[in-house]
This record gives sequence, structure tokens and C-alpha cells, in this order.
Amino acid sequence: MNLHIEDYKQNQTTVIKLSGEIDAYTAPELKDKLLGYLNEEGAEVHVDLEKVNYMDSTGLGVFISGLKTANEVNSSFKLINLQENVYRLFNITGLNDVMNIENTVRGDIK
Amino acid sequence: MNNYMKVEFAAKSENESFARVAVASFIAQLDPTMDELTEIKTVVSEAVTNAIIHGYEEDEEGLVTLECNIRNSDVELKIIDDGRGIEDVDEATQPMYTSKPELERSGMGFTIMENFMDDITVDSQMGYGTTVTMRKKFNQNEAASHR
Repeated sequence: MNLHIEDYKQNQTTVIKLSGEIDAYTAPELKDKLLGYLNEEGAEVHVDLEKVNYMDSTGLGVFISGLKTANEVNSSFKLINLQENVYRLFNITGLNDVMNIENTVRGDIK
Repeated sequence: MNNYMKVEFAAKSENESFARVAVASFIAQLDPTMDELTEIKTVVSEAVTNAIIHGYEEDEEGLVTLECNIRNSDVELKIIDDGRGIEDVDEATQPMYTSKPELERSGMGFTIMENFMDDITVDSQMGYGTTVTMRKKFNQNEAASHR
């Protein structure tokens, strides 16, 4: 299964809406898209993961890159609508402490 | 129930989804929970990514072998490559470690594998390749609920 990336403006915020799976095959396109927006100073990006039903550590790497870029150029992003199994990866790796994750996780957080 | 399967595929990242779906389909006979299925798919993906990116350094001529052994409710997975090998396994399995910082990988692959499986061993020899063996007992929650 591939990753479908849809991006649009909502007021001052860019929304990147993803559906599918994030792994080593699909991550490069997401990274290009995310960093492309975050490289603009002051940019505010929401990454909507509601329809991402699978992600591995390659996806974590993409969001770590995003965080680095955002810190460097003074832009910001947050992850929204994570499914429980995706949130779990951030939780067990401790990245939920450094990432901006909106509290709209579906299912029980373990 | 005892069962066994083995597949071999080219070291291309587009084969990762095939690898994890193959294992998920094979272990369906154990009637796993959704969490167990997600965990097994994730660890297969992590180990196969390592084989492709680190073992073969994205040389698509390389072959990754995936074996799955079921003995009763115990599942043993082996992900085998004949790539370059890992110089220092202890260092490579540390959280946040990555030998390729330029790729900005998370360095969390082994942390996730250790978290999702009961046991993991890494056998590696420079110039000969790496075998990652992982074990997990399935249906533990169901067994507990029937007590």
C-alpha cells in the first residue's frame, strides 16, 4: 500500500493530510513535502495522520527531521489525529515528549 | 500447531510492505489480536529496512530472506541478509544510534523491535551479513482471560 499526500491551506496553516502507510518506501516523498513547507520562516503546518494505519521508525525519522528544520528556521508543525498504534511508536520511543502532538488520539493510549 | 515459511526477495524498499503482509498473513492462523498483528508487521519492517539500507546499502542486487516458524503459540522470525555486517552490534542496538546520520533516520528501529517482541538476538559478521532473530508468544491476553 502506498501513501497518499494531500496538502492545502486552511487560513494561515498548511495542512498535510496523509492516508496509507509510512515506511522506508513512502517516507522520502513525505519528507520532501514536509520540509518544503517547514523551510519557510514562520510557516505553521499540521500533519493529519487520521488515515495513516501503519508507520514504522522511518516515519519517526521524517518527523525528527521536520522538528530540526522547524527549530532552525523558526517554523512549526504539529501532528494531529493519530491512530492509537501510530501514537504508540512516539510513546515507546519517548518522542511524544518532544513532538507537538494534538490530543486527539483515537482509541486507548497504551 | 507447528508451521514454517520462508520467502526471499530483492533488497528494495518497495518490498517491505510485501514482507510485513506475508508474515501477517502467515500468523493469521494463530488468531492474533490487532495489536499483535501491528507489532509483528512493524518489527518485520524495521529489520527489513535495516537489511536494505545498512546491510546492502540499497544495492538492489542483494537478497533478503525472511523465515517464520510457528511452534504452538510461539513465533520465531528470522530476517537474514548477506550484506556488509554490523561492526559493533551493542552500539548499533542503542536507542538513537544511526550509522547514517545524513539520512536522518530515527535510530529507533531496535528499540521498537525490543519493545514489541519478547526476545531479539542479532548475529552479525563483517563482510558476511546479519541475521536478526526475534521471538514472541502469541495470544497471551486470550490465555489470561480463560483462566
